Amino acid sequence: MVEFRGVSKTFDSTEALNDLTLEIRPGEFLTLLGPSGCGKTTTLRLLAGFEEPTSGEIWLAGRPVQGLPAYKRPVNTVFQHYALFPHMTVFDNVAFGLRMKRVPPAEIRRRVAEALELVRLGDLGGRRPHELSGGQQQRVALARALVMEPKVLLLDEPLGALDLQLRRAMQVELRQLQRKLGATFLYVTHDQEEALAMSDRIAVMRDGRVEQVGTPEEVYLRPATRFVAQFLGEANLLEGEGMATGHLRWGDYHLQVNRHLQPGRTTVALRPEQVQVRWPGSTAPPAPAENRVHGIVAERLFVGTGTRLMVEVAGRRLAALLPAGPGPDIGDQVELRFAAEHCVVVAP
Amino acid sequence: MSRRAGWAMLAPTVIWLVALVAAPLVLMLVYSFAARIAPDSPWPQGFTLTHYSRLLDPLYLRIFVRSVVQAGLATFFSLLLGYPLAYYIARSPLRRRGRLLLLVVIPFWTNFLVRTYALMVLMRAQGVINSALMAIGVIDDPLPLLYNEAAVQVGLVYTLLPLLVLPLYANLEKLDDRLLAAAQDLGASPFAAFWSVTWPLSRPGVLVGSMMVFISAFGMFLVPDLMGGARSMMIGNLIQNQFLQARNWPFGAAIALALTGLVLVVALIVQRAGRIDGGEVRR
Amino acid sequence: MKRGGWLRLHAALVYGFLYLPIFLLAILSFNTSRTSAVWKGFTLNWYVRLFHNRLLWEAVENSLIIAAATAVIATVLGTAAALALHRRRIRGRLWIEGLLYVPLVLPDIVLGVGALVLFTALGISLGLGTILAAHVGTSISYVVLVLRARLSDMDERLEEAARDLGATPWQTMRHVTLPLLMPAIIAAVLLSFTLSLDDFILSFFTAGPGSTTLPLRIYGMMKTGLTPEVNALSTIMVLITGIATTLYLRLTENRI
Repeated sequence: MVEFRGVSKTFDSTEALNDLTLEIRPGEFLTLLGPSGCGKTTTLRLLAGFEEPTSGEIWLAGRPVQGLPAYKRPVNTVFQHYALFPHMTVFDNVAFGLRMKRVPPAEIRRRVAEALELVRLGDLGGRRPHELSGGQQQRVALARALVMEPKVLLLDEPLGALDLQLRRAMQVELRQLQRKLGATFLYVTHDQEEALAMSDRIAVMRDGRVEQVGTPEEVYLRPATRFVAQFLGEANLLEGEGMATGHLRWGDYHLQVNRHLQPGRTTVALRPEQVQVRWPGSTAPPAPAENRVHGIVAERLFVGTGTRLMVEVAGRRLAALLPAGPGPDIGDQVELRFAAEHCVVVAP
Repeated sequence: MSRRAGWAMLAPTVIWLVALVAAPLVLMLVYSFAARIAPDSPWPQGFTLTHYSRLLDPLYLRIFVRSVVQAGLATFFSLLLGYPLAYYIARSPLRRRGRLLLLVVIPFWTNFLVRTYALMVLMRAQGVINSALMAIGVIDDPLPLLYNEAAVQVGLVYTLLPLLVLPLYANLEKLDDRLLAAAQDLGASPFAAFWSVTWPLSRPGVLVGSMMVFISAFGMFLVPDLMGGARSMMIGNLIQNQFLQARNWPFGAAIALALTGLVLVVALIVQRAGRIDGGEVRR
Repeated sequence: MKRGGWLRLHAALVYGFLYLPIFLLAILSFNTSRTSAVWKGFTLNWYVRLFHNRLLWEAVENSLIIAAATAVIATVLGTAAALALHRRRIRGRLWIEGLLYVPLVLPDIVLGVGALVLFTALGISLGLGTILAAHVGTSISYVVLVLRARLSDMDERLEEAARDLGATPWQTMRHVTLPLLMPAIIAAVLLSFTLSLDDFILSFFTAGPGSTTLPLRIYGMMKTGLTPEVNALSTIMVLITGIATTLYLRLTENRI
């Protein structure tokens, strides 16, 4: 549906996007994820038509759109702080785009009513934005964009201003809405949990480029680079010497990684929840794991869903996540076990 | 919006401004160098610098200096009276602030002439002050309160005070209370907090207000004309005199341009000063 | 608190300073005595005479006409200019901004004298038209100032949202920008109206015989002798200003 071909964008002397190449498939929920300044909002704005690329092309539904002003593009945006017209009622806000296209009044009434029903705000047509709660305003913004039936719906961190509970609920709702409509959503966020929960695919961005694109599982379990490994959730980074046998020489250990390793400096990522912990008194039967290391518990934090341990091994620290329940104390000697298949080689 | 539409929207304004602001200034420049004006046409002829050199004549220099002094004093007194007032209003509870501001805005919007006149009614020979003093028996003859430089000064401060209070208030109102709280949390007494936090942060407002008062006072015509005597002539009066009575337009133009030059210099200085301090403070 | 007490006292004294002359003036306007400030008896004589002063009414009429025309012209021109300058790349922007700045900084007397020179050099005879031209010339800058302040406060996302939903630049301006600017436009109209009504110096130099404005008339009355009619007139003007200002501030307060 959408293709960014070698798109670069420079503002004054800052390069916001550097040779960005990305494809968005019809009917998919693609999230641009990254820290502030990585260029994700710029990418969105380029597609919306609020900025023009310095170089490169943007294709939408088989036609190039760079150079086309925003009001002529068949995409619509849900803005971060909603940007609802304060001097219009909810109904007028949602009807705005249709009125600009000179859609007949009867059809406007029907489509606006449908859109408001879709976001479950059916009764609030007569209210003004300032009379609504944050969540309700956000839905009006959503309805206003959806009623236009855009080829791509652009969402710029729409849930940022909501509190946690509401945000979680809205994440589910947005996802269900997207599936129900079969629409293409391009979503921008810096919240990796949000991205993992909602997306069909995630494009992790950094410094104006896409570091990795893939399904949430791919991006989380098989991060391609160090940055992606650390940005999504927590990762242990094991740096050592790769050996042609598929081992990583790490400290005194030869860790089995079973991947094709280039000899030389190699970094391997390992998720804390993939690390099993055996301590004096642990009762759970061990799962098969090729790698075993020994260390001493340095820190212990209760994080609600489990216990996070920092273990000193061979002069370095590894993080391990224990499910809720009993566990070792600080100072205990423990054995850490992890499987080779959970070790992912990442680019530095 | 297309570029042409943008220009079309700007054009009438630009034309009007060029015609009524830029062109007159250029014309006056031409006049100020004119050697003579032909009797039949208004256009200037010849070239001379005498009008400008005349400005250095002690007679005119005295007027110039007097204007600077009057304007400077007026600015000083306005600050003295106006800053605490602006501060008081800015610190007042929200509901009262509206009314307090209104009480400053009303004199501000009241006709300049009317206000000057009110002051004159108070101060003239048969005015309220003199009548009251004579009635009590403190004096036998009326005091010459009007028609001197002191009277002009009072008139300047009286009419220009609101001009300082309003922008100063706008600035003080935006000051973040939390900064003061932080200062006091760190051990500053109320006075120290004022001196090290409020005063520096209110400087943009002080500069803007002072500049407006100074420039208005400097080029003032009405107050010295109505309340001043023959010996309290200021630049404004001199310009009016040259244009309408002495009919010496070239010289008048030279004075007006000298006034313009000085005003622009003051404005530039204030702009620079504002920038060094980091510009406006916003919450 | 002690400090608060001093501030309040100071404020009271300054307010007293500002209002005392006006109050006394109002009281004297009912005084039977022609010249003295000593109270000789109550009368409405001066107000009556004011009412019958034909020259005065002519001046009022002139002032109102000029003020209304100035308000309309300056606001239309100034609004268009402010919108054109808003977030758009204009070549020569610096010159235009400078030009707009000049009337705000220069003392009115320079502008007045300049206008006089201009009209005389071009052979244009002085009258209501020249007064109007001068008033508009200075008012535009104030209008642009007021509007640009409001424009920069306005959320630019709203205009973007309109474009995103398919509104052409013209439609965006009509349906979003201008409605949101309305409070500022009204303020600009009132501002330029008041500035024109109040103006003395510009009118002083650009008025011709028979085209007197109210301030000029008052000045004339003051120069020929401080008759109590001026007291009465002044009192009325203060009253009108007071009421108008209060109404205006109440209106804008409620809007927010």
